[in-house]
Amino acid sequence: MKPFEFPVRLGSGDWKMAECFWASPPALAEVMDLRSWGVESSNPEVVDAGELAKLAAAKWEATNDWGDRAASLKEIQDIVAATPKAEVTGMLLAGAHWFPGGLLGVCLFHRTWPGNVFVDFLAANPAAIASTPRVTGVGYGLMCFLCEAAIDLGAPILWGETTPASVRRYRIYFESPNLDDRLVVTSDQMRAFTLKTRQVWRGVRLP
Amino acid sequence: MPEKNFQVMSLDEIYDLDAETSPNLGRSVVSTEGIARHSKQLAELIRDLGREIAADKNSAPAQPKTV
Repeated sequence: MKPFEFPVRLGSGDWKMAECFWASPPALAEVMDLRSWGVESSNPEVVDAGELAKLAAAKWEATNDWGDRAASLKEIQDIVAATPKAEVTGMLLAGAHWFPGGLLGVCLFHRTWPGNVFVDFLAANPAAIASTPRVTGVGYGLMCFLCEAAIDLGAPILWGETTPASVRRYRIYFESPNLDDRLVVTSDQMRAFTLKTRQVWRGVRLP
Repeated sequence: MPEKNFQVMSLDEIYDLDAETSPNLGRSVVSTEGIARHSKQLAELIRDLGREIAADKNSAPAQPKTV
């Protein structure tokens, strides 16, 4: 499957392309990479990101052993066609060849039995956040890729759990001023978000 | 103050938002108190290890000189 390309910003003005792709089970190299994420920081959100990546790696490994996992949208659709109430896990990764280590972000999610999409974990690589210049737009790109997958799966709802430091972002993305720890995004909100995102990305001028 | 409407935000405003906020979703076990507790435990562990290493050096038999 062709990776989904999206722009990330370095510092305040330079743009580079990154890509989102599906982890191909068992994705051992990526799991090893995720387990190593973490930087010395007094910022709980940065420490949290490393922790979320490790938890995503652990859950992905457990799913590989005991659950249903998919390496593409089509694989999920095929599993669901055979078993309509199937719960299927996928892992989306953001990466770039120019970034040390390669991986910029992770999103572990699953299709729930009634057909919604639950975000188990989403985090940007703490090294990307702490790098100079800082890499921005990784979480944004992953969320767009995830919403497009959820739309293609016909998911009525995308849901998950925000943190105190991430809730503002998702209130703005989905125009839900009352959103709290419960991230609940309808298919209409996903569509509005992805359409706007595709529109702004067309305005990026790469060097 | 109400937040800006995402549909009218510019490219730079959206990426500034990415820099200002975390994308994290999901629950980790890390907390501010947990980091402080872990740092304290780590400091104690390093101190204990330092004492053990110093004690080992003091009690180690003298190595025979080789020519």
